Amino acid sequence: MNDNFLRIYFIFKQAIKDEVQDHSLFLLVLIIFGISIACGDVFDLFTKGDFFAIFIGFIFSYMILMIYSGYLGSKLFGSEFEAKTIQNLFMLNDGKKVTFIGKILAGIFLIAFINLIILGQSIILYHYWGKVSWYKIMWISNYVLLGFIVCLFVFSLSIFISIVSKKKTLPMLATSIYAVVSFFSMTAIPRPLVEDNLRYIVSILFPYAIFFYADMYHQYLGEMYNLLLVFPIFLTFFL
Amino acid sequence: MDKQRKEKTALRVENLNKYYGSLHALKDVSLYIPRGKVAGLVGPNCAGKTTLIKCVAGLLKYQGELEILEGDVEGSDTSMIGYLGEDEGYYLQSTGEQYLRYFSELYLLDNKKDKIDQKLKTVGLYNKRSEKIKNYSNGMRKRLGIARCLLTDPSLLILDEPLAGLDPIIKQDLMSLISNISKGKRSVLISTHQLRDIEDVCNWLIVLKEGEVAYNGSPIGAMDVVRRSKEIVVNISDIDRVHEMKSIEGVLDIEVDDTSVKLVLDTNIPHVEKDIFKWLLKEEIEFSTANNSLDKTYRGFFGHE
Repeated sequence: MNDNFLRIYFIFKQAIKDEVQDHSLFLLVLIIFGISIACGDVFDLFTKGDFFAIFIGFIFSYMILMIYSGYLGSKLFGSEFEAKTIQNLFMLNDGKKVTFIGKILAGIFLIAFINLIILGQSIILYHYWGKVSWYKIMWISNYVLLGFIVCLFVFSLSIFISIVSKKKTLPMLATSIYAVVSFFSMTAIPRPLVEDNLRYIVSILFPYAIFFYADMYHQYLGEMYNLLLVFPIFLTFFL
Repeated sequence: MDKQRKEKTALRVENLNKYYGSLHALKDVSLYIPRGKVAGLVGPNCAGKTTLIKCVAGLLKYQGELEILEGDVEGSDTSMIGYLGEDEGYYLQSTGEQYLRYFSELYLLDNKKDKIDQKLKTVGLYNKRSEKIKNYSNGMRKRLGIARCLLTDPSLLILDEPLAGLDPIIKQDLMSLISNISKGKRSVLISTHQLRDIEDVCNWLIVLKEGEVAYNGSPIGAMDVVRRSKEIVVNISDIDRVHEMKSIEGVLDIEVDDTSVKLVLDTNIPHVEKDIFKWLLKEEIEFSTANNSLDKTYRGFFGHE
């Protein structure tokens, strides 16, 4: 059992190391900061600093982050399947188990790390506007957590496509299209759909709706967690 | 199976079956490899070599019984098996040393540095250890793969088509490396469809034909099996005259191709070849025969393949 923990740790460590060495993580952080600050500045000009600016920053950031989550799934699994390097990992004792757990944990860690950065930058932006209050920080933290779960869903989807297709391009392409299409269809979602029980499905298919109809989703936030948590957990166990 | 044979067996397979949907890829495969032998697993394409090897390596599920290093390996411990796949993948951005370090961590080895250096020296890549794998040649990558397999000092080394895509000189180098690695202590299973590549090294032979074991034993025994009958390929212009040869005593079978004829001869009949040649010369028919090497043995199992 301890041996498997060690193997999981080494696979986890290598995945993180590869990601850091690729500089893609650094680039992503830079993009997200850029987008949020730009959005904040633009809206600041017109609104003198508004809570809405944070959400616009969120929406753009999460589109990037959803694409990144898809990329991460395809990189951790699809590229290994395509290069046939995963076969050697499967040859280890309990190889499939330790490989999947190690890589999935690495993906979750990286997505959580980026989400924490988004949370941190939002608080910094609030501080810049001089409107920091614990209530608003808690409120924004809820949305960051919800965004994190949406990213996990995209990550799971990418892993699933990677395993089925054994390619790296297809899962990345599919999840990127999903991220962009759901972004542009955000405003097409009729308000009643969000208000009735379909909000569960809507929030998965169109995750940006969570931010767009923030005022409504706010009251459903507690129950939404239950549903959204089920997806990545279900997919992880299924895989 | 008697106790003595069991103790000396590196691999024992009994009634192994593998299906891919409706395709029956391996049909009741039963074989064994004694310890310390370099076993050649040969057969034409689609004979089931890779499927069998993947079953042995634990990468595919199967029906039947399969025991590796009986008495040494318990349960699912795969550290005593080194497996190099047919289309082995490498982390191209890593150096040879980094690649081996990653796997030495995953194999939970002690004295990683010493073992990595030792294996790199064994496969002749020590001086190239700091180069990225993407700059390695195909032969060097195969060597690195073998070094990875050797990290755990496995008792059974499984190499799936290790010579595919290599030039003759590199093939020879790799085979002498495999021979050195074995030295009668470590069992090696090599699959190939070019028996002539491994005939100098392998001292055990398994022949697979259409998912079934056609032969399992020493290479000399395989040649004896084939020698009971002999074939001559005759290039002939007048194909109608082929059937006249059936009247010659010792001609067991005749297979007609477009321009050539394969004659299967009974070698128990003395002078049968001489009689055939005499007849061919008398009738002024052009003919040619294949050589009688181990490769001929392979052809004996699979005809013209």
